[in-house]
Amino acid sequence: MRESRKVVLERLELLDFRNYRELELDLPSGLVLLVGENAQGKTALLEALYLLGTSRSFRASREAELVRWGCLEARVRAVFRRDLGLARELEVNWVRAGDGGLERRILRNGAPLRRLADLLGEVPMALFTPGDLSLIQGSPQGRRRFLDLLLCKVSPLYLASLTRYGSVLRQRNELLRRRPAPTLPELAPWDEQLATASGVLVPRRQQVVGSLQEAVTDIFRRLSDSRCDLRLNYRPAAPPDPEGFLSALRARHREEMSRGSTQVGPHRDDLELLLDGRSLQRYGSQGQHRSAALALRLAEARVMGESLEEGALVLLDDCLSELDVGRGQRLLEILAGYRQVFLTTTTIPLSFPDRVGVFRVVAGSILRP
Amino acid sequence: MTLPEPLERLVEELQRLPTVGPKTALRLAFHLLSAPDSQVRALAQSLLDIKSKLTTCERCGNLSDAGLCAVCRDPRRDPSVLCVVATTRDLMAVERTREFRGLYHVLGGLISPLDGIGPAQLRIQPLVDRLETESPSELVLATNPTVSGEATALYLSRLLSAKSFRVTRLALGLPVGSDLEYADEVTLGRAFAGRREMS
Repeated sequence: MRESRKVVLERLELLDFRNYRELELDLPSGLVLLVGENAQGKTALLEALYLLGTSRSFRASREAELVRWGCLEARVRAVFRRDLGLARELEVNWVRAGDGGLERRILRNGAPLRRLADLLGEVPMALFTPGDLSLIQGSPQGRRRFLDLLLCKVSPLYLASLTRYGSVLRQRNELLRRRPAPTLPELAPWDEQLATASGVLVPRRQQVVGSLQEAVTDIFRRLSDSRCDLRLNYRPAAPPDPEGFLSALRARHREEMSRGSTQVGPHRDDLELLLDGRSLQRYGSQGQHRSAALALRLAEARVMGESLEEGALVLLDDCLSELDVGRGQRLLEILAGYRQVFLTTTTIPLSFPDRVGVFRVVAGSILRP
Repeated sequence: MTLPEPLERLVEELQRLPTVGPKTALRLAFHLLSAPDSQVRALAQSLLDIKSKLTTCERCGNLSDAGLCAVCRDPRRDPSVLCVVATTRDLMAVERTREFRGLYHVLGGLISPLDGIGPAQLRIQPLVDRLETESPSELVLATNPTVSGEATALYLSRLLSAKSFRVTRLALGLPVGSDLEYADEVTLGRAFAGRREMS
């Protein structure tokens, strides 16, 4: 990847967003540390950035809470620049509507974006939160979502096929629940469309897992300072080729009709993590789980950056507190390889490199030390 | 302010129409109030007529004011090609091209289990019967490229696969006169997949 194409966040402006009244912040590249006590607004800064990348908040709360208490509107605006390229300005703003909800607008260089899909991939970013432990410990659904979101950002065709797959699946499940049970000719058009969409989804998942593999193994080794081998094992629930998919589907028609739902397809895939050949979920320690979740997110940033050829911002929410001193130290060394990283923390680690941007977050404002 | 009862009732009725909100409804109502008697009478009569005088064509299912619709009555149309569409509005869209000179078959919707619509709810049996008696040489499936449109086309093509006529489906691709640069990625991707050799 050519260094000169990597994207950097230069400036961030907030207006009545969460607990920020007004903020204008010029940011350096490299490691940016957001230090502060709890509930001062560190995570809100990451949230603002993530909103610009995906239009969604990663915090499970009502959208109405994004607008500062008592205010009618809020705004997040940022200027991104590739090292030798033009600046790109992205803005998301919210206005309280009459019914108590929020009206949201997304602007790119001052012009409204027509489709949400246009925002995805505009500024590639990967986010780690403490909740990501569920990537390792939770159900396959979370891991599928991880792959899907990554692929949607790098491939518009994947996003379209995933949406289409979802519509076909809902229609087909409805048909399977119907009584009297549907005939095979009635099911056939849905089976075929499922096979077509699956023929896009599965090979691309396979491919992206292949790209993640090298980065995950490497990052996990460096993070845990061990020779342990972390492997990703993508397990498609059905063969990707249309013929194989259709015959797998046909073999379970009877069961599907009694259960009233589709039993075969990418919506039942899993991504298994193996540590030295054994299930990480079952046999790994809590510390290994944490390192693996971090490695997945950092690998995501690397793969996303490589596919879009402009690097990816890395957002890390409160990841140091759970790591021991050695791991924290090694994480900082790994992060030095990324163009720009935002990291929230309650305390500055002793081992912290000198030349980094440290920003103190205090009650919705920022102090440079 | 409350309106006189007849005016209030008109505003309420107008608001049931698509794209008409309270302000537009009020504006339309006052316009009608000041319009000549004859114009209002003509409007009211035409509203009644579309419910009482219109029926569906007994052959193709198109809207019609007689047993057979205008397309089916037209002796210049080519009965050897049959174009299957979901609705009369789709039929009108194909007609506007002035390219298609065959006959139509209107299904009256698309297969969609979530809306409770299966093959039995559509005019598929009449189509099968028609194909028996009319034996055309080509059947064009002109349903939307949505999952429902695709499901309907797939269902029909499987149902009719053993027949002697050709079954074709509309091509997908770039809008004519548009710039590649502005095409969305999926349309462009599909157009790429369906590219053709230059003759």
